[in-house]
Amino acid sequence: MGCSLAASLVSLKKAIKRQIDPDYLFIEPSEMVVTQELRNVAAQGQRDIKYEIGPLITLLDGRQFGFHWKERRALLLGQISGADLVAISRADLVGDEEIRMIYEALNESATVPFLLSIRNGAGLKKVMLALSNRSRQ
Amino acid sequence: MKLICVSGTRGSGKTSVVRELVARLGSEGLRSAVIVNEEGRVSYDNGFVKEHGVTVKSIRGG
Repeated sequence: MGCSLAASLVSLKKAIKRQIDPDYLFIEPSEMVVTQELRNVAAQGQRDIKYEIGPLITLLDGRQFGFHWKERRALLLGQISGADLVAISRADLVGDEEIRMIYEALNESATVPFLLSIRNGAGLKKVMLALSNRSRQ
Repeated sequence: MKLICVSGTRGSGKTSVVRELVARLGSEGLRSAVIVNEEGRVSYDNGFVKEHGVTVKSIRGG
């Protein structure tokens, strides 16, 4: 994430806080952003406005994991590293064999992703709990 | 305000997850806003924005 982009994001974050002050502000970055970059940008602005950070959630596309793991491993590891929650998304569309492969691949990184599906509701309680567990500000 | 980041490769379901969370939080009376990369902006249609009273801003290249 470039400096100007990070500055724009911080500026937008401040404007939303001051003009709307929502309970939650979601950031949905482009696919090339890694978690540490997000964490750094997320922290910028805390001297100026009051807000809480997290959780930082990383979604793994179970259907495309094999391809991404082979071709874009550094990107996946960058998104997994430092994330508060790592989920296998669209889990209702992912077979047992693919899930086993993901667990095996991530074994070395000591990451155990959970299954998440909007369609069947898997994992949503876990995410909602993570959102509500942090103290309100 | 709590800042929540949802990362993932294209097609990983970021928007679907954020939309679901916004809807669930809204049903609890909690207001949300979203900053999305420009490419994902189209997934937040006017109907969704109005129904959930969510503010959506896009950022180029973000």
